[in-house]
Amino acid sequence: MLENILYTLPQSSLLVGILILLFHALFTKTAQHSCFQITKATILLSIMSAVLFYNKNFLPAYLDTSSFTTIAYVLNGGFALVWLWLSSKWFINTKAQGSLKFCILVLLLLLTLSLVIKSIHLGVLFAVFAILSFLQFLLFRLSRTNEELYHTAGRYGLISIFFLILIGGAVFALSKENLSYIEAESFITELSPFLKMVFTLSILCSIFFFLSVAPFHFWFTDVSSPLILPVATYFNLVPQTALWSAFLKLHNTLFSSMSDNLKWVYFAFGVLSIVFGVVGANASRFVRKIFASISLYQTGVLLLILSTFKENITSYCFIYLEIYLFILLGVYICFYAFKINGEYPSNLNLLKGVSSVRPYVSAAFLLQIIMLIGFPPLSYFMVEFFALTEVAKSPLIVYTTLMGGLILLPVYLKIIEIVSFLKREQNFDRVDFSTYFCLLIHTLCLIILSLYPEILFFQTDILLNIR
Amino acid sequence: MQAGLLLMLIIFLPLVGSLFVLSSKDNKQETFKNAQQVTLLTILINISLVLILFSVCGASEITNSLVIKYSWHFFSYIKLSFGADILALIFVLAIQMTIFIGVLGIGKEQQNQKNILFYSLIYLALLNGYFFALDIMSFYIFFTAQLMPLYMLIGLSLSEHQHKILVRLAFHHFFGAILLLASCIFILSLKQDDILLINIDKLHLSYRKSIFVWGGLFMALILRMPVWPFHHATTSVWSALKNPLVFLALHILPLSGIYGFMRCWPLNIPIEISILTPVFQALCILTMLFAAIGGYAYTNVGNKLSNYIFVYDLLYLLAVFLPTDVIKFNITYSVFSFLLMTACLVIIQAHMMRESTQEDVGIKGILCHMPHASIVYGLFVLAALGLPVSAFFWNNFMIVSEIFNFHLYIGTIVVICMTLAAISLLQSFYVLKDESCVLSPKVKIKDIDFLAFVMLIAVMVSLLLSLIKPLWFVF
Repeated sequence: MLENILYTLPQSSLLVGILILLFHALFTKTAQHSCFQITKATILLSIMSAVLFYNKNFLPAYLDTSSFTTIAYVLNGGFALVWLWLSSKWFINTKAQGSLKFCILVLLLLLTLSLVIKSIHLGVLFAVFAILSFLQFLLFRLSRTNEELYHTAGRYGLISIFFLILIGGAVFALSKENLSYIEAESFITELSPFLKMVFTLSILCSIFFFLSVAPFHFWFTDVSSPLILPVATYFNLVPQTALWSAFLKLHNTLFSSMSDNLKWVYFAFGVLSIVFGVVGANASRFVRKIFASISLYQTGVLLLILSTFKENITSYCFIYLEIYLFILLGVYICFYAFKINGEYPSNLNLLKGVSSVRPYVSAAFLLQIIMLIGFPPLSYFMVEFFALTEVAKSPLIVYTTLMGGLILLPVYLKIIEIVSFLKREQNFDRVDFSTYFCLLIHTLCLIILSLYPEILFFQTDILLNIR
Repeated sequence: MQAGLLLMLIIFLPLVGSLFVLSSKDNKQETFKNAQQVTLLTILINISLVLILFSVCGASEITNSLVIKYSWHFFSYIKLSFGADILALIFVLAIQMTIFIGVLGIGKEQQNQKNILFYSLIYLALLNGYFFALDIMSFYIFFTAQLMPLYMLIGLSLSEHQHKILVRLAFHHFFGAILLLASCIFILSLKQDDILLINIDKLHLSYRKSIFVWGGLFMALILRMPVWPFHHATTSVWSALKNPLVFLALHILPLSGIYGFMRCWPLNIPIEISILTPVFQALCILTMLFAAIGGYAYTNVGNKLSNYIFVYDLLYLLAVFLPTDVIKFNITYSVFSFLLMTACLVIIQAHMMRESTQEDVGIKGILCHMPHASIVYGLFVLAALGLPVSAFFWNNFMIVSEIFNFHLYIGTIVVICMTLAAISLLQSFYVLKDESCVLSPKVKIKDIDFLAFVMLIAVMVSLLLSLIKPLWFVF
């Protein structure tokens, strides 16, 4: 009994953190800073306990704990920690209200995402998706700064209910004993082809909605710019690892038996995401929207690679995703460093000539852009290269991915031009020392990964055994 | 092992130098001087290392003592191999000297000098890596990586409204890089050990893959050349650039494409794309003809020189496609002289342009006020015309005779184009020496520095010596 309680520590510590936050709020009214400190300590404890009990499980029929889920949760928690640290700066600098609400939401979201990662049961998956969409809806509302965003939050809520009904329908169609991924797989193989497709697509489309795959991406790309920076950072960085982990598990279990039909579905969604991503990035002049569109492109690339249904390709996809998210994390740290009179600019033109006053931040930003362009021998290129080498038997996938990258080139060049070549028009605020330090660590990590790409592929067959 | 170490030093030394340039103080008076001195010193050390390597590398083939390999434990099928032969070393020496001359020619009043010197050293390091790459992976890495510092150099030199042409240029080059990456992916997906550039034609590829590999390789290298319809991006950037160092950096890029063809293109064009050879040759010839005639449409001496360079880039491209190996060294020696001559002409022109802008006078007859510049400019123009004052003369003679041997009509058109380009260059020289446009004595036009004059004379002497023995500096 005590053992089982201990094994729940990665999740229960987050709940305890929420209680501490509430108690803290009862006794101290104005301690914004300490709220964030408590939340950070709670997340750190949760991550450490996840590592400590990396192979211990408390509900084996519903949740799975393996080296893969631990890695995914640690990465997710790591991104959440940096996000929280950046958000605390935002709340302190802008003197915004609602930091307690925000911190409680962060802990609840992380708790839900940890269950998303561990889930091996469709019923649990449905339940955590329902909670996740509700919490994300609250996060939207937390950041409502204009009327348009208010309606977008409503739209997001309604459409997420629709997709929850879809996935719920699929879950209720299965009998109680067929809800685990592996049993569900053997159950659907006995269905007629039409029913099999309907069943699979209802689950697939729901997950694609949460992963913001085109054409279900509107809630993700359109709102990136008007959202307050901490919320935009969350949607871009934090849930991706967890949601993709859940999807990769389903890909290897439930969907693997339908590879012949699903490869075209993956391919179609992948191409759509690439097209919407590159067009959206080229059409926008708002930095956050540009990077949200680039994320959409990356989603498309991952789907194209997965469409081969090749063995072990999921581990390459996972590494590719994490490297991309890590670079994106650097980009977002730079966004927090580019500040004009206390405001965080979202229009790209406001960043004109920033390199002349903030050379170090701009150099780090430039390095991240160069990585995203795919310049060798940087880490992003290496991972993309090895993933594409694995799917080289399908030249269409290779060329679609690379051509999408080519069409994104003007966007990257525009950013480089505005940041490095044009004359400065704005006065940028001072950047604090901790941001410089964080960027330095981030850049060093990227350089190390570029010099030793084998670190990323170390024992992937054991560590990233996605089942 | 020592030779391998030298090889790595040549690649990485400019990177170390670039860090020193970056760390120079941001004191506007002193920054440029410090950064320039560091850059010149770095390149000088590199030149001496290359000269030492020349003495190690006796044979024309890549010797085992000069090959180093790196492999990743996880990806055993990828081995990064670097090596040097005379061909690579001549190219490397030529680009070191070109950038050296370019750094000397950069003006103090130009913007962003520190950044330009920083990126030029990075560009130089990546170019060195490119010329020493032996396998497809390292070839691709350096082929693409060198583009980034080049774009930064160009971007820093162009004015605000000219940045669109940079995007066009980058789009061309990156398209080529992507095609090469696809080829590289298809080759390495075979997971064979040690795939060197010279062995690509020996791989067993399916017909479809073979088209992708050879087509990609061909397009990647051709997109670096100013061949129609891809010429416009390069030429528009050439004419917009005012900084001589950046101009020379861009000038090296088509020649790196030529080197790529020399290194990995098989003697017999692969059957999958050989059908397109006549079309490609026709395109080359037509572009060459238009470039040669186009030189007369401009009055600007800079544009005339650009067109001259344009014609010779295409001459080398035609030469590397000849189904023979015998003129490989002639092309290399000719490129060496060509790079040095054009580098010297570019920096003298840049000096003249600076003086004419400062004094607000026209460029006509400006050489009459610059006795030193007039001497060296005249000598380099004579060498560029093809007169027997450098190895350029002999080697071009060999190249053209081989083109004649291959196809009479193509040879004839090539000679016509070369003559037209030479006359155009001579015409620009007469404009600069026009005595009817001599300015009043009140206008004080500065001649080139004595140090620069001595350096240019030294380059001329080395070119003269190369007429007698191309590798006279190797003992």
